[in-house]
Amino acid sequence: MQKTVFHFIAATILAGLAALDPCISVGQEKEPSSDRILIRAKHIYSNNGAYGEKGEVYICDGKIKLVGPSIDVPGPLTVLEVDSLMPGIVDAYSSLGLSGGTSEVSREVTPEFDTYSAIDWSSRDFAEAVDEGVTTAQVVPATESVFSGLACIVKTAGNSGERTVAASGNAVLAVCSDPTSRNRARSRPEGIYMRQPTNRMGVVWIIRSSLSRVRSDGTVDGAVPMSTELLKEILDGKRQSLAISRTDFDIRSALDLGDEFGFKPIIYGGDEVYRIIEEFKKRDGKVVYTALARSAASNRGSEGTALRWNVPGKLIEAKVPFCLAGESLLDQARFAHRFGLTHEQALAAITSRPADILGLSNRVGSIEAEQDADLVALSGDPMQPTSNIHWTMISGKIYGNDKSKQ
Amino acid sequence: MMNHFGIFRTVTIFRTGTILLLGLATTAARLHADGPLAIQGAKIIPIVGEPIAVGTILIREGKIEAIGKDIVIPGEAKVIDATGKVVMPGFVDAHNSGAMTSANERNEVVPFLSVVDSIDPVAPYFEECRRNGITSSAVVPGNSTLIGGQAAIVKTAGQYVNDMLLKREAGLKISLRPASGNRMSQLAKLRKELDKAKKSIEKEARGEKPEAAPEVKKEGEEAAKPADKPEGGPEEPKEEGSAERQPAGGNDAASQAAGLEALKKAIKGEQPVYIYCETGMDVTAAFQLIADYSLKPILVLGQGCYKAADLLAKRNETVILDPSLVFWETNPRSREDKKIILPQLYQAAKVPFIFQTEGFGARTSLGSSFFWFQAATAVKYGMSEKEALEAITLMPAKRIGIANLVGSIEVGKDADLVILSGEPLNISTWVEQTIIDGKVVYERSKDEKIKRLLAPVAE
Repeated sequence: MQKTVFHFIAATILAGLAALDPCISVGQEKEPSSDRILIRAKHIYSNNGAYGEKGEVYICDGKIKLVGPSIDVPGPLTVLEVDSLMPGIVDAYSSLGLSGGTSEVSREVTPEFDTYSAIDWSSRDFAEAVDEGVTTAQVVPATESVFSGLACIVKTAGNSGERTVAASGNAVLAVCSDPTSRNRARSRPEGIYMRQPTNRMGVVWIIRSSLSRVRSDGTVDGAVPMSTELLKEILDGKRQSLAISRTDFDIRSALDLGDEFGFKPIIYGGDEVYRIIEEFKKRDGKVVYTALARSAASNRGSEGTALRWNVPGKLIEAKVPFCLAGESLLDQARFAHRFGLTHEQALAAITSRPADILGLSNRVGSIEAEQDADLVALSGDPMQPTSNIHWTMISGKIYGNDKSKQ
Repeated sequence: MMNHFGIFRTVTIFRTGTILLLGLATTAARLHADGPLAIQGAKIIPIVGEPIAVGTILIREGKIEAIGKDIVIPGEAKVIDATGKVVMPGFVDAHNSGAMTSANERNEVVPFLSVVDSIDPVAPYFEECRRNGITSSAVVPGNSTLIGGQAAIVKTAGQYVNDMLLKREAGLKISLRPASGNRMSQLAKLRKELDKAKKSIEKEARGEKPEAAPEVKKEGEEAAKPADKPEGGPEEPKEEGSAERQPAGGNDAASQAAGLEALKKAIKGEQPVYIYCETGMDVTAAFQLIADYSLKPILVLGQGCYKAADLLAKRNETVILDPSLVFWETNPRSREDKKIILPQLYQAAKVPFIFQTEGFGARTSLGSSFFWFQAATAVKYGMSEKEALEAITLMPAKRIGIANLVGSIEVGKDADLVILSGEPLNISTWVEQTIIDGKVVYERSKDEKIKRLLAPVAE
């Protein structure tokens, strides 16, 4: 990487914009500005424009301002030369910064539990995520309770105040066998260890009974008023819900519950969605697919789903909105490419697609004007296992620019 | 534990598939086993010598007869057209327990055992080997042991273990990670066993008769009580001080004598010793043992051993790295996070190394299950592609002492080859065919499992 200061004096077509945008003014300062950055890349990989072609990106105040084959920006600025540039990776299903237990196990209905207040911002998880090119992550609670809590969306680095994208986010429902783990069916009902649900019927029953009580203006047993309010928001369509479901029958249950109560949960997990793909499509399903992640096997619990490699290919073929999620996302995309996705599809599956699913496509997930300057610079083709990440940029700031990597 | 149903289901499918595939492969092999085989039109990466852009390999009676640009193919030869493909020597796995029904015996001192008795030719491991271009594998007892038994080297295709064997007494497995108790007792127990063998050798040298192994009481009872717990993979949780650890026939005179013989062979240098070191301190202990008992070591290194990289560099012997090549550590005092990149660290310290894979189990990441991915990771962090490819072929072959037979494409060596669809470290490259001893043992076009994985449909 070379840092050079360029002083463009010649008038350009951009000069006209100077009066409107302070980012594109003819600079008078002598010092290079760290707020104004020009990246020259041999290859830009983003879902818009000429995919994989040479190009330049101009960044000011943490935002992408211009993208093109060649950009003339007057005034002092930092110039970075890179081989390959891709958008920052968006992980829709992470547990970054959550240490210790990440779901409440004393009650089954805890929609008010929020992950945001439990995040350890100095956790090593964030350093690892930045190192792997992840710039935005949805932090999702674990699945031991049926209504597990609220997810939140954060940037993986930056000043504490600037890292929050959505503090109070999607409501998480565990429509799977996870909440039954540790609960024993044959313990005495009066015992203090007695907990429900003890089976999957119980999981669905707890969701159904809670929502129907709230719908008939009742309250949920033992739940605080805030819980009831949150469940109302789900029913009124004011809060997006996500259902952790991996087997085909769990996915169906989640969609059925949604139909019954008039909401549309996004499916997270989705290992067996390929078994019911036509139905899933007809029911406007969206899925955050995590089965290619390292921890997927341990997440499967007692469900024992069989691994299939090219489920993403199947989802694209059926035009079902999906994205990849979970750890080692860049490697996941590489393997998704190996298993059948095109280069562009695989890259989108960890950048623009998750941004769409999280409703953030106006802000992150691609390299275009007015997006956050969340970028990843690599030594070569992002889809090759031999390519190394040189640095990760979040809101215009560079992290992990380690000389030993170059 | 909860995954067992899923695994069982998959395993059943694997096995039926394997038997079918094996059946096909052996029939196909017999059809042209007599005549020569030629692979034509491919880019050849022979590992020894420069790559040949377009060349031919001629195989006769399971051996490589000729390799080059202008090889005349005999009329009677069966020809594989590999135009546009890349041919490499089959990959060599220098340390794996995947072929064994269980990686470790419950008893931790079992030098008399041999993995040969535990190798299952239809284990999913071998099917995955052929699918991924691995043609030779050193089957070694796992790391949860003290003296875990004797390794064997096999080819990865065959109906019975004897058809597959390259080397029977291929190395004694010793682990310095305590299987029970702590490091002091682990080393003390190890030295006690090695001392016995050393004294026995000294007695022999003085012309004394080696003493008979001590008779053990309740021998009948012990024999009737075999160690019947088959579980315990390589990362089996360590049990503290279990008094119930009774050997599988280990207390009888015959086992004791066989165990002593195995240890004596190790001390005499007739059999190498696989020494598993978990951390940097184990490396120092290993070096002391090597010096004290003049062992011929093959070092298998856990993640923490990079801290002893300078010591390892002095020995200048190829080491076997942990399958997790990249991981993070947090300094417990300064709370500083650090990314550890093993290939980079060992390269900087000038320690030659080869790789392991994490096996093809359900709990592993996709990447580290494959040798090509491990090699690609090393390239990502600065190794040249040439060196990385050598580290999955010729270097492991040398390390386990079979380089006279395999590890490169040279005239006279076994025809163990892998035909790749493209460049070896490219993400989109697949193994098209695997050839062992001149016989095609894997063809992607006939691989039903790959088809199921790549075109998922509800069954």
